[in-house]
This record gives sequence, C-alpha cells and structure tokens, in this order.
Amino acid sequence: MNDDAPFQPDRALFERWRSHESVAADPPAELDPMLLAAYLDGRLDEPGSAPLERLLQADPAALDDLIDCRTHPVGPEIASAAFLRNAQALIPSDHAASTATVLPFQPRPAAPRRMTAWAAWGAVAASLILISLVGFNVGMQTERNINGATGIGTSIDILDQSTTLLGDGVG
Amino acid sequence: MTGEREDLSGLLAGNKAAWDSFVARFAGLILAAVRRVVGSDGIDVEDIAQDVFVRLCKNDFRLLRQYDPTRAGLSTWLTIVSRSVAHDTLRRRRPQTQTIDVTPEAAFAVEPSITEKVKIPDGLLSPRQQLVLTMLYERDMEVAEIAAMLSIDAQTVRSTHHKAMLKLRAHFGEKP
Repeated sequence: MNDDAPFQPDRALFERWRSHESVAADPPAELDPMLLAAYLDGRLDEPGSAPLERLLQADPAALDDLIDCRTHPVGPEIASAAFLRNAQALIPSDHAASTATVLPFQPRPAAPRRMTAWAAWGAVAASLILISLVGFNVGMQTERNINGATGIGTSIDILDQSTTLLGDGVG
Repeated sequence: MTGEREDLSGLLAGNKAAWDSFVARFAGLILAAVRRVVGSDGIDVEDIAQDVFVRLCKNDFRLLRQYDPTRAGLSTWLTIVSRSVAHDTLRRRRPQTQTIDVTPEAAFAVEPSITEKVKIPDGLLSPRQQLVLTMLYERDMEVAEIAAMLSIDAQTVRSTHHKAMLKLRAHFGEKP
C-alpha cells in the first residue's frame, strides 16, 4: 500500500497470524496448469479461484511464477529450422506410418514346368518321323542328282516308270 | 495471453500435418516461455523446449488432451506447461548438496523461534484473504499490483484486506 503508515497495526497483526501454526493438515494440491491458465485468462470466479489462491499463498515459488507471468508476458521467438524439424519428427509421417507394416513385395516363384509322359514320347516319335522324312528326301535327291549326271535310271524308274509317288515323273 | 478457441481433434487423432502445423505455430512461444524461466543459465533452451513437445505428444497426447478450450486459451496453457517443464528441469539439474565452504555463514545462524503454539482454525481467512495479505505484507506489493495479479479491481483488494483484518482482530481479541 502506498500510504503504509496507517497499515502498520495491520502488518503487526498479519505477522502475528503468520507466526501461528495453522491447523490446516492437508498440503495444497499440485498446481494444475489448466487451473492456472484459466486463472490467468480471468475465467475463474472467486470460489473457482479458491484452490489456486490457497496454493499460491502457501507456495512462494508458485506465486513468483504467477507474478512473472503477469508482469512479463512472453512473445514468440523465431524457432530454428533444425528445432522445428526435430519437433515435427516426433510424430511419424502418415506415409511412413501407413507403409510401416507392409512387407516388401516378393514375386511368387514360377512353378516348375512338367512335361507329361505322353507329350515326351510324342515329341520323340515326331522327331523320329521328321528325321526319317528328311533323310529319305535327302537320299532321294542325292540319288537323283547322281543318276542325272551318269544317265542311269533309278531302281524306281526300272520298276515303274509312271510312278510319281516320290519322284518328279521325269523319265 | 489470448483466449482463442482451438480445434485439436485432427492433432489428437495423430494427423501428421496437424502436428507439423501445431509445432510451427507454437514453437516460438514455447521457446520464449522456457527461456523466461531458465534465463541465460548455460542451459540449452531448445533441449527443454523439445522436452515440452515430447511430453505433449507422448502416451497418445495424454497431456495435450488435458487442455480444455472452454477454460483458457491454448497459448496461455502452453506457456504454463512450458514453464512447468523448465522448472522441473532446473530442479533436476540443481545440485542437491553443496560443500560447507560455499555455504554462507548466515545459513548456520540459529534464529529464536517466534512460533506461538496456538492453533488457528484453517477456515479463519479465505484463500483470497490470505493471498492478499501475503502479497501486501510479505511481498510489499501495491494495491494496484495485487489487483492486476488477481484480475480484480483495487477496491476489491481493499475490501478483502479490511474483512481479513476484522477476522484477525476478532480472533486475537483485539479491538478494531
């Protein structure tokens, strides 16, 4: 109070009261940030403020904190890019979170090809027939070339001049 | 301190973009609040501010879920939480013991106890009356300062003081 002199008796009375032990058995509860924030924003009436004011009265550090909040309201600083990056990294990205449990894709191995027995034997038979026909044709062609060069008829010509089964009917 | 209403539903649902936006918006405030408490004490302000963010989001945002937009602005609440984390850090780092050489002589002085062994009823003074008297006589604060601290008008402070004194005089049997 500015004019302190008239309050000197009051101060003495306060100090006498302070020197007494209070029968208050329950220590004040832990400071609730939500309660203090509501108090600072002026959203509490006196009954609502009572628990906090009791704590402030009993805890000099808490009262210091309140006074500092009131007298030195802080304005935001400029946060460094590295600080922002680290703080934002506390929550993983949606993409990373959504793929974190997906196993990498592995193509299914191709089933080994199995050739059935009938197909295998068929292929062998077809190969033999093809080789026989080619060999026979090559042989006939060779004989025809030799005969054409020497003028000697083939055994087929001798046996049947009209046949065109395998030859070209030249005679 | 602002009284803005905030919708934190996206953030509390784990939305990454909402978290990034929240960090970008309030990092500067949290840094400033921490710096206000620790000062230039050689303590890394960014480490403590990072710890604030860790506490806000850990256990599925348990701390952040305690924020009630109907009761206070988010900036105010974050300032209080940041200061609290900074105080915790200072308490943890403060040495618990010191050598006798660095302890001032006055610390060993034994003062005569002036405590009267008379019990005072707990409800004699209301919390506000006690707080007003404490600020007036222990902190030597002005009436206007107390009014500003408690968000009440100066006349209410005087009235609260007057009623408290009446109770004390009655209790100690003094004449007004």
